[in-house]
Amino acid sequence: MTETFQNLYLGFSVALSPLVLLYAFVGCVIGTLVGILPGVGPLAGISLLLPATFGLNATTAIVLLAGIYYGAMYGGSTTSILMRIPGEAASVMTCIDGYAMTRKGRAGAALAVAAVGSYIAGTFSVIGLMLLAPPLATFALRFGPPEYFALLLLGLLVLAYMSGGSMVKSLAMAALGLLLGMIGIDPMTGFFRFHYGVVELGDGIGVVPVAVGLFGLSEILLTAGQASPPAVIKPRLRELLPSRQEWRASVWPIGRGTILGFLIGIIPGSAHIISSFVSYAVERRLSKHPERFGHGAVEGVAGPESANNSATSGAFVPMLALGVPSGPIPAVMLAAMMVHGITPGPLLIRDQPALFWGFIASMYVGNVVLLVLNLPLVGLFVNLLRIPYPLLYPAILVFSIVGVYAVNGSLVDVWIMAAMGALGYLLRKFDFETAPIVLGVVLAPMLEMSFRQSLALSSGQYGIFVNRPIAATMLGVGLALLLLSLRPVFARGADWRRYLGLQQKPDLGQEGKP
Amino acid sequence: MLLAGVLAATAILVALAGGESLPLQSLEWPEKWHALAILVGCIFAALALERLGYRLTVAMLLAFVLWFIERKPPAVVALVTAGLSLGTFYLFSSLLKVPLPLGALGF
Repeated sequence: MTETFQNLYLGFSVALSPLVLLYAFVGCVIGTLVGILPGVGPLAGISLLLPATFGLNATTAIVLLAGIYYGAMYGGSTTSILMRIPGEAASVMTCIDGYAMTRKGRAGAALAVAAVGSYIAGTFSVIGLMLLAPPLATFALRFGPPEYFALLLLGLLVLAYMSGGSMVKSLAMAALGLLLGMIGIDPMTGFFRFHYGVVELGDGIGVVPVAVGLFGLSEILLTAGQASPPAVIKPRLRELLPSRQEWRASVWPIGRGTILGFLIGIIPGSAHIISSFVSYAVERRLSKHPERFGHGAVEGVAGPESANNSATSGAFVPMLALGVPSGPIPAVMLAAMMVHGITPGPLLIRDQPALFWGFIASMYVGNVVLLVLNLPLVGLFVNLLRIPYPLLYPAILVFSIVGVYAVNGSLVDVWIMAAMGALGYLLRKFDFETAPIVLGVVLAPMLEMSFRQSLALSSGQYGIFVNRPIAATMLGVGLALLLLSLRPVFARGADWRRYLGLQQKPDLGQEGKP
Repeated sequence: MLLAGVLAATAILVALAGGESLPLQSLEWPEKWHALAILVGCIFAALALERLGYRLTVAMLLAFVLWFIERKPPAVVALVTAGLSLGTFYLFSSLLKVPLPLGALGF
């Protein structure tokens, strides 16, 4: 314990040096901007700025990139709340209730709750990262491909279970996402699948164009042409502070989100995305008034926002302690550290204490910077809403196009975005949820890889998923969720059949199912 | 092949007969022309981005959206078009060092 504090002292002496402090600040500012620009998520932002850090030393470079990462996590929630455009994928859940709150005139409160929740979650999860890294790392070490597969599958089932509408619809969307994620080069054999002659599809379908298309573009398509475009909500400054009731409602979701997010963050996968989905599901299930979710429940903002920030820190545990990136963003940061001649892994903490503890300390500093930066600036961000929509949406359109294009410098991504925008528009017209598609696209490569590695391990025996206790438990929980969600179908059976009888074409009655 | 055939047949059946179901008929499409026009704009952008260059494409896209779809006054159209196309280019190309296409005309 004393050793930890000594190390932390060393860390703060690094992090509070003016130069490192400056870079942490710059990183947070850029990160917030990156998060706000739709389509330029943390992944794109970090990748774009990677070349800019080559001139810095290793500590400042990693501090700058980490600042961008968690700055973007916050900034992403701002556009989610104000415009229903997730600046990055983890804010998808914030869109639902955050935007509903905006429509009810509580935009300021939603932003403030998100900022405070992010701050608390960020700070506590860094403490967690600092204290629990070694034992948790050994736990994650026991995860083999079968466990990853079971975990990813569980993630998808949890998502389908939590979504408000029918589970069948959600699973159908998730399956569509998984299929889209299959496009590209087979990771095991190098076979080029589903490319239809388009060479650029070899890298697969990126998450950014899909997310921007489904959430950004389809929103523009839905809103722009409405006979009377929705009145632009102009929150008053007095409304920036959440009411006492809203604070009370968000305390527990923030606490649960922090713990949940951190634990999920440690597990490799797109942790910050899954954690926000899971947190939303948990809050919805625990709530005494689940019907309020989707209509501006403050818990639906506080929980996921805390969880995704907490997961951001959690995601660094396997990266720093094991050298295993837990998602695409840590993977880019791992590459950045390699460029600077540092190999993350168990030896990093011993060999480079100044870097490791300086990084930890800079995360504390970064969280304070973000809170200080974001609470007063909330008013500034709110000003975005004062721009009339007919002027605002062409600007969003331009940012979406340039953001999607900039990730890979590929026109195919712009095409994908346009197609996904049209698809998202139609699906939302038909009352489908589009979030599972995005998750499916993200998870498909990991799911496939772990599934096939498992089968390679067991030389084709499917028993490997049931014989290993961790994997079997997670699959069991997933199955239980599936069965639980089926219950209303059986309970409503009689009613449902009568409904069928009223249909003109009984054999196609499921179309008319409410 | 058999499976694909059965699936396709079911899909066609659902698509044709499902159109008569009540929830679908109750859907209204007041914004379809707007949505279509904006999509056409996106397709134009995807086609033109590497041929005309970023600034020209975005300027034309914005002019199309603001003038043709939103029918804004010419001064507003000109201001927003010029500001956004040049501003975002400066932000991304000069400040963030993202290579944006220049096109045949050098814009």
